[in-house]
Amino acid sequence: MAEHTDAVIEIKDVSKLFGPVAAVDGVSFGIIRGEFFSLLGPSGCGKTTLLRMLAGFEQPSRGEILIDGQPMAGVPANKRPTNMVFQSYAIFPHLNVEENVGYGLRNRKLGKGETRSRVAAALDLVKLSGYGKRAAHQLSGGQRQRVALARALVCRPKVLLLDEPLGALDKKLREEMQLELRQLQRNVGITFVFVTHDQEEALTLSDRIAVMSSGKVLQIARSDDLYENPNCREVAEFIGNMNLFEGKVAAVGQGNVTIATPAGTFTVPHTAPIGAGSVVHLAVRPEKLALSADKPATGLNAVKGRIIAQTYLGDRRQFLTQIDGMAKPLAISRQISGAEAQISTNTDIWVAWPPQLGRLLTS
Amino acid sequence: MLFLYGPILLAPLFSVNDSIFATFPLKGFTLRHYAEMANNTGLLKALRNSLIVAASSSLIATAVSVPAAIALTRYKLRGSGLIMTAMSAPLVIPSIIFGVALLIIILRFLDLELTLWTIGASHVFISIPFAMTVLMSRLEGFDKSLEEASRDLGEGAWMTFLRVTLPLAMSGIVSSLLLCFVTSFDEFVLAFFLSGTETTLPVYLFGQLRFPNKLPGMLALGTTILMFSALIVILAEILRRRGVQSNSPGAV
Repeated sequence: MAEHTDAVIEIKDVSKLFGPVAAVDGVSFGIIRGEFFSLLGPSGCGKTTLLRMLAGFEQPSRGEILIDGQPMAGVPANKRPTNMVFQSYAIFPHLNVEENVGYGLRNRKLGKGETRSRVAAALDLVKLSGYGKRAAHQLSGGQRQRVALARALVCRPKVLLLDEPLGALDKKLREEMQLELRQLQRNVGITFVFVTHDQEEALTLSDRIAVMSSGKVLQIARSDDLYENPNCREVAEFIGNMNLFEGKVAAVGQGNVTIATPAGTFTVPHTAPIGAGSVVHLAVRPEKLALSADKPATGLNAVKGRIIAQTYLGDRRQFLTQIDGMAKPLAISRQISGAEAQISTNTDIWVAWPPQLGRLLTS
Repeated sequence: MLFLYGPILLAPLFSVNDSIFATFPLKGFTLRHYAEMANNTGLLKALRNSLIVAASSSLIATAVSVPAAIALTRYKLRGSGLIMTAMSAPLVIPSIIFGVALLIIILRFLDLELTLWTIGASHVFISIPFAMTVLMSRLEGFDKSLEEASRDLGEGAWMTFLRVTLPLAMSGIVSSLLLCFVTSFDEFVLAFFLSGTETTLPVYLFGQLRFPNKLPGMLALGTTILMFSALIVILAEILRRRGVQSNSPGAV
């Protein structure tokens, strides 16, 4: 791919075996210089193992990793142009903030003055100026996180690796730090590789996201693309909420196909060749669905159901609608503007969506 | 508690009694026995021997145990359970059997003379379990990613040991030294079996007890040792408990 010509990291068919178990299984992709890249997946999907192979704490069992064009096989962690922010932050408890931040500068042959000014600049960058003499145990969780960031950034790595760095913070602080982290990455222009299991966090922060599961990369895409165009059921269900109709291709049209499901027959855009009769899934997001008491106009996909529950979520309301022939109720999310009609539970209702908002998933 | 500490408290009590007999009623208060102690050359020599043996055996036992403890806590070694059991053997083997066995080995097989070195070597063996216990509990207590962070920040294995592992283990090392020192300093059976012409304080003390008139002096000596030992053990425990927050003086 053309965009990979400026890849700062190239991962080529990398596997990592722990005994008979493949923690990472034949993964290949590139990370572009200067981007905020996230590895997203449930725990145990191999994302942390992959990150540790980039850092040099684990060696790939197979395959090759190149950082800045250099093969990393046999290069130990201390010789790599990467620095890491650990999940536990790993702040040295016997050193103060300044000594922690300056730790990696010792063998860089910098003058005392240069070291001091770089430490000060790094502390400034993470908004901890004046905290230099604090002992490690006097810091709050958020401050420890900032020290860990400053300590890594002061070494001016080509790539900054972050292992779920926001996981230990409470929700409010986490959201603040997300914003700051994004800002920081734009300011310093260093490539960030960010590991998280929190899909919302990944969507907020990243330029691109790799969704991983069972050691494999399922999809790599920009946040909006990942949300709007998942390439398989697993990604569709992992990123946000998704309604799925299982069915068979009934007819192949021009740029769309018609599929027959137990809930009815629906049309969905699709261009690639597909055989009639193939088992597929139609996926549609809860916020794309509209509710109406009357039968919707023709041209829309529509299905009749019964509201079985509704949940108030502040900015929106979520309805669960039971459809005949479907095991799982449909989720419909509706913005609350104050003008819409009340819908009471246990009433029959039409659920409809324009065909172009659905997605066909073949795997 | 009375049974445990009562007899121990009698030693200081009779050591300041102005009489050569350790009986009630007490006569008068005196520090005479303590003063005599300071002029007793045999005793001072034994004390010096004891200090040399205790200092060197605690240093060697700790120096050997630091890498062993790191290996056992940092790497999942095969047979680490066996190693730990083997190392703790001196705790459960009666020291009299250990002493006889060592005596046979040293005299028959190694053909060495009995010196302070032989005592010291045996004390290294019995000190290692104590050193290992203290050091391992300290090393298990801190986050493995601290060492990884050091590697990540550009330091090799040796500098990581010097800049992170050692400073963080320092309180454990000091408390191991103190504990081994006390173990050696108080040890009698092995020293008794393995001493040649030179002997350590406990053995000297035992020898002197044959002379009744020496008893109060020995009680004075015992009291002094008791107080030093207690002080050192307390110090070791305080250091061990200071934990990760300690701003270790060993920091680079």
